[in-house]
Amino acid sequence: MPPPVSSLPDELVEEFLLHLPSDTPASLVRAGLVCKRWCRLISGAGFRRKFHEFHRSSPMLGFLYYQRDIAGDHVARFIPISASCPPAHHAGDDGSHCGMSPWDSPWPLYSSEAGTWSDNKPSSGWIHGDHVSWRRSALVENQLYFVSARNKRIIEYDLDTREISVIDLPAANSVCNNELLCPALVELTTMEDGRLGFTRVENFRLSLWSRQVEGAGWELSKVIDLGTFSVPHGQGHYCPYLVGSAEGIGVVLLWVKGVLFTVDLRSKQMIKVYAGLYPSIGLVVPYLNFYTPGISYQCPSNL
Amino acid sequence: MEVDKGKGEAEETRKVAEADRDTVTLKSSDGKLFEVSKEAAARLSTVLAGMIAGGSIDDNGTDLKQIGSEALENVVDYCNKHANSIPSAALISSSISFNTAPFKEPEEWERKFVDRLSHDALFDLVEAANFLGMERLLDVTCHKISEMMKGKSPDQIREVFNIKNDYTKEELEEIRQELAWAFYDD
Repeated sequence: MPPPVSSLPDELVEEFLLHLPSDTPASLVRAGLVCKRWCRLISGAGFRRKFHEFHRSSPMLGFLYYQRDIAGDHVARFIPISASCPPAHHAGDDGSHCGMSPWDSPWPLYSSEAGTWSDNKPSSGWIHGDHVSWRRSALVENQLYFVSARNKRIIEYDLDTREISVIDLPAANSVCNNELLCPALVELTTMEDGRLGFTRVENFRLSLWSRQVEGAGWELSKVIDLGTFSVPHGQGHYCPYLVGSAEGIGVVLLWVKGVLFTVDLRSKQMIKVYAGLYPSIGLVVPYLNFYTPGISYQCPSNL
Repeated sequence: MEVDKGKGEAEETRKVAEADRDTVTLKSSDGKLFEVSKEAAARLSTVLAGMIAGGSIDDNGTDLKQIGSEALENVVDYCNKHANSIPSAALISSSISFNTAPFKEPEEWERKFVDRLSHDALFDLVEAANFLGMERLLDVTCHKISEMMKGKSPDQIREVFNIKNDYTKEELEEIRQELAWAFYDD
């Protein structure tokens, strides 16, 4: 009797190869080394597309973060988190220098028609000394939203009218009220129904807020308890830092005492992804992608 | 003409009787008969749904010549179990923005269902599910097969699936060097 796998048609072998986990790129490489037929299927032109369609959401293979180097410059580093992930030069930008604030003006707006920068201030609601944070922005219809550097306001830029307005956030319910140790960092998101939303750590809870349809208020959509992260520090507590988010897969990134965690907003599951991020990090940009190996070895097409 | 009319009426009556039945009878390649819930069969298999809708279901056992009795028994078992299974309360949050899950993880009973199968029975069931257009059963069985590869080296995968290594030592070395990162854990 022939072995069952060898007797299966290509379409079925491909079907179970598609079920291999997308967050462990090495599993595809190993499968490709089983036999030449599997290698041909995995390196085939359509496999990447089908793999993408099957798994839909790109897995988080690693992340970029800023770190101050010896010279005091901010350097972006790539850290792979997936078990056996392709090295950094395959996946992301490693070692490129990034300036912290390229503009002196807090409101630099570039007009591609005029080819010039202009300074466009909001008409009201602005606090002197605040500026636009470099965290994730969100687009809802024709409005582009940014977080203010002090995390207390959202800046709304209307792409049609080019007007800037300021939206106040609900007051954060924080334990220590120490903005330096426990800044209530804000990550913007777009809710499923298209509304503007944001996540924030408040009093050892991760809160997901969404903007009310009627009026300018906010409503609390979800709360995830982070009590397990409560680490005493001096007189207060060590608050988890909200350092980034992976929009599209509903994951936010928390930094707690040098350890990076992902929190799945849907299942509330928390996974430790990387330890040893010191001394502190301001922003983590997750790297989400499919990685299907392009094995340069020429798999004979008649197998 | 009278005879033909009578025949037609009998045919109509038979079809009506068949349509009233809650189950359909399927016949395996080796002639064994299996009863399956009509509702579940139509919902889970595009091929059976087409046959039921098209009236090509044979009351005395619809021939499925490509499927052996063991695989067909599993198909029928799956359909009947599925018909009785209570949909689990899925963790769906309407307010959070993500893409909808592309593949729903097998439920507990689906896991148990494929875990008890022998190696050969599992592969026969994959083929049967594919033949009958049973997308969910195909997903569940293929998922099980992919899990059998989890954390295994190419050598171990070959052993599990009884696959002959048709690479030369040099070819393997070439690929291993090119994609060395994939073998850090070995």
